[in-house]
Amino acid sequence: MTDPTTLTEPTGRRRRGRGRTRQVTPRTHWLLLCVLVVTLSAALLLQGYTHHMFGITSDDVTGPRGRADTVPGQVARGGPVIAGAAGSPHTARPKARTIALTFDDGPDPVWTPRILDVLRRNHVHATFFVVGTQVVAHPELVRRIVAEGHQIGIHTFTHPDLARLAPWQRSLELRETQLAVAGAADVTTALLRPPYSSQNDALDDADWSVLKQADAAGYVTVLSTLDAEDWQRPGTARVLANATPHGTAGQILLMHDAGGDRSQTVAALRTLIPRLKAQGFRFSTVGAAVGMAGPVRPAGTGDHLQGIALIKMLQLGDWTIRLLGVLMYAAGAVSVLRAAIVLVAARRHRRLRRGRRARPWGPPVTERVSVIVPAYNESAGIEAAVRSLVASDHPVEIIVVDDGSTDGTADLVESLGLPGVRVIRQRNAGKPAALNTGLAAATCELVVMVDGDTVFEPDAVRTIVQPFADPRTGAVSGNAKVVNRGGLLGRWQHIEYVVGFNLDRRLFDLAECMPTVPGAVGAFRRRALLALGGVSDVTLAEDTDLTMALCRAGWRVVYEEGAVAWTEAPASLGALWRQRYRWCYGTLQAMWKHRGALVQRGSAGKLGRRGLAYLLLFQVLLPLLAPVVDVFALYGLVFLDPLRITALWLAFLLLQLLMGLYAFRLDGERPGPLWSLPLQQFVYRQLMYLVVVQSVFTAVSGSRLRWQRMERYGSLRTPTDAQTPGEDRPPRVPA
Amino acid sequence: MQRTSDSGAAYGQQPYGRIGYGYAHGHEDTGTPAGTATVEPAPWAAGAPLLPGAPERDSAHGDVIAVPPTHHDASGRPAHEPDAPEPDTPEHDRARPVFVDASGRRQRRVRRVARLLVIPAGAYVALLVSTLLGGPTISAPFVPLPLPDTTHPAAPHKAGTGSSAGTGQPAGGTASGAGDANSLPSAPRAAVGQSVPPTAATTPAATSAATAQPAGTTSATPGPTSAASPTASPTTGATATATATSSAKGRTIAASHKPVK
Repeated sequence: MTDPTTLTEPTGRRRRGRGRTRQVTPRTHWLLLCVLVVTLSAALLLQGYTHHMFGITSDDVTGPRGRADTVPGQVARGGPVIAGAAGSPHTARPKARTIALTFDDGPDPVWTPRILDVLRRNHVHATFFVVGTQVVAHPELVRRIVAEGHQIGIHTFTHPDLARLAPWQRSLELRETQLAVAGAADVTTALLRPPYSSQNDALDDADWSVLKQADAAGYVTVLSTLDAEDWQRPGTARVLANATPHGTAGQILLMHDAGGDRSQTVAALRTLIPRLKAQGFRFSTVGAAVGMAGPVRPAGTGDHLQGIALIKMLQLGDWTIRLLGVLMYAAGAVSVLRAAIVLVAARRHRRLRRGRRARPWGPPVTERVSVIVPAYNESAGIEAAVRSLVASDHPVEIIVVDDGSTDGTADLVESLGLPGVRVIRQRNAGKPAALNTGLAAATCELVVMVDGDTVFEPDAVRTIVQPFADPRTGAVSGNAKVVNRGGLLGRWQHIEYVVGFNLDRRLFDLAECMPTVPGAVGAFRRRALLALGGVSDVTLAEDTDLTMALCRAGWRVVYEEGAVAWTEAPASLGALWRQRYRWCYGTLQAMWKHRGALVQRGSAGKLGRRGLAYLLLFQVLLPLLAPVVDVFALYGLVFLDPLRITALWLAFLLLQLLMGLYAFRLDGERPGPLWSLPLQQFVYRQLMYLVVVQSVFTAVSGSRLRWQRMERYGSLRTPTDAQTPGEDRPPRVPA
Repeated sequence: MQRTSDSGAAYGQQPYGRIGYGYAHGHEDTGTPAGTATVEPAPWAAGAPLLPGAPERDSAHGDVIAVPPTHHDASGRPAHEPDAPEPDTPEHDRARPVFVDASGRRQRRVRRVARLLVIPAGAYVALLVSTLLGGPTISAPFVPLPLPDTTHPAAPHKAGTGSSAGTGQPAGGTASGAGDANSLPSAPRAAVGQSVPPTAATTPAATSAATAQPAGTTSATPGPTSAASPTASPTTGATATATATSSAKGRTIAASHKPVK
């Protein structure tokens, strides 16, 4: 959840002008983001397919075999090596007294080398039917297998039951494995053993269609005549007994060098080979045993390179996934930690300020307060704002600074004829300038700054200035609430405001590192502002900038939850986007401007190391990671355990809900709108992190934002202002 | 998604791009209508108490120049009246917005880097697609025919399924099959893939010319074995096949007596 910890200007209803000026803000980042997301998705798709779709399961038959009507009789009763399935099928058998050792599912980093050692010691060659994913993971083993004179066959890429796959998938399985072998050992092989195959008489129609397709692709299928059944790990003696042929017929012996603990296989081989040799058996590769002509051949250069590329790509994907997994865990842990800290802090803050033992700030503050209302084209809301201020139960001096409005805002205020209200007009110069003008005109030591469209509660002014009884207090943040809570968007923002104000702000207050006093409702000590030189205009979030400067100057900035002001939230996604873009970019600017606080001592250091670090982590880094989180979540739903992913998601949602409930309770709000929290995950969340992406990119590239404001300047000079205010919605001046 | 140009005017929105525009000063007195207060002189010009020991902001860090609109000297005193229509543009030149690089050089560089990032990503996807679509072509290796059938009368039965091609091929045809097999190692792979099935088919197909068969096939079989596996010694290959025949024969015969289809 994005929290409005940097709520600077809680209005965002901006009029959309006809963008006369070309947009200078970069679009490159969207292209970049799209490309990166697509690449990541492709990589995840590949990884998910290769690692999580099938996998080496026990070699038991995957299901009941079907009818075997189409399997030719001479194949069903023939030798284990089947060629020409698509055209004129024929089979071959190993010669008598010849054993072709075959090992499936490898290579395996533990067992394959041991088996190779046994074979080498006995001067025996065997055939290894390798699985593509294993080849990718251990290409050096494949090289060793080939280098030591053994034969390579393929056992598909991901060990699926080929009979259950569509033809294109079968083809993919075969080609990718071949590529991996070509990349790893620079050879291609025509030997194929389909996973879950056994002997000829077990072939059914589906298997036969696989064999036919494989033959069309140039493969010779190698089944087995003797199964050591070592995959069941029945004990070395049993494996040995299974593997010992009866009679003198040649055999293709099926064993496994991967897929689990193969120590029994290794042990059985140590005994089996010398024993059978003594009985007059010869050991050879499958190719030699049946007199096949060169099933393993050197790969072409192109295939070799492509194979290497495949291996590297998959390995890179593995690393990416591992890294992302770590990041996901870290992000999750940080989020949970934050929730815990924020909840504890909010509770403590509440007891500190509202509890029975709460200490008052000091003697009640009763002195007159200057209220500055900067207004630019606020004719729609200014009356309500000013009237609500006049109705305050605290003596106030209201200064409306009209920043060159074109809709008669100043005239409107003047026509109200309210006592204690002054209007100052200035040429349109921006909000910081208007604030400075108001500051210069203010006669009181305490200054409250209000948005032109924000309505104060009658007691808000009195409440917000009470903390100034403490001479160390430099600024006070009030509690801004969304007035337009209708609709999903309003509800979401309402939630965001309540949670952000009530949890994050309390934490900041306790930690003495408040980064923002919202422009909509904030009170300042005038002399503190003047010491800083007034409101600066070098950032778009002048209130954040100002607050950080105050913190660094040693002033305490506190949160006063009782000072409630009602403000209007953007009512459309576009308006919300613009508002948040400005906030986010402005906050980044302010953070950068005050980055020196990180290494400073005292209260500046508190701001730097607590406040800025918090903002950096939760408002910049985590949102930047969020697109990856979304892609990864989809990946998990598709390829990993969907139940677990959903449960994880629900757990985080529950955490948010709990935080929301607590915040709502603290604020005395009815928890009704919280039902829309789950929906928030699907539009709002993406909007919030995309804003951060765009802001960061804008900041890094140093591009100049050309906001509507620029056009206004222009239009002010030309009397024919096409963009008359209020055509769409009344533009608001956020304070 | 880009909304930068169409946003309504708002305070705090991009006041940039007009370096030197001193809007931070309420110095526009002239336009003020009568009756309302115009911008007043700053009260703090009299020397409002300033927070002692307030650190001067930003002195420590470089490019951000946060010179406020009204300038105070080191002691915090305002250097001049804030609302005087001072021509203080040079000072405002220094108060540049954070991050903004007016020269545009940084933006060009970032765009270049972004494009450079796109290249490996695109290459990755392209490579991925190519590996998914590509893959080595395998040529079927020659697999010798099972010997038992050739010498046994059961062969005709079994060959019934063998259907295809070389039906009329007599002994001479089989000999040419042997010739094919001899040319195998040197022949290009594709050619091997093509040539092998016919050779294989020769034997079963010979069923039609049953009488001519036995001699022809026996001559053919050693041919391929010896020719196809140059590494294996032809003699052992031949003898091994011969022995295999004897053992495998029984089963094959028994099987092949049943109707195949």
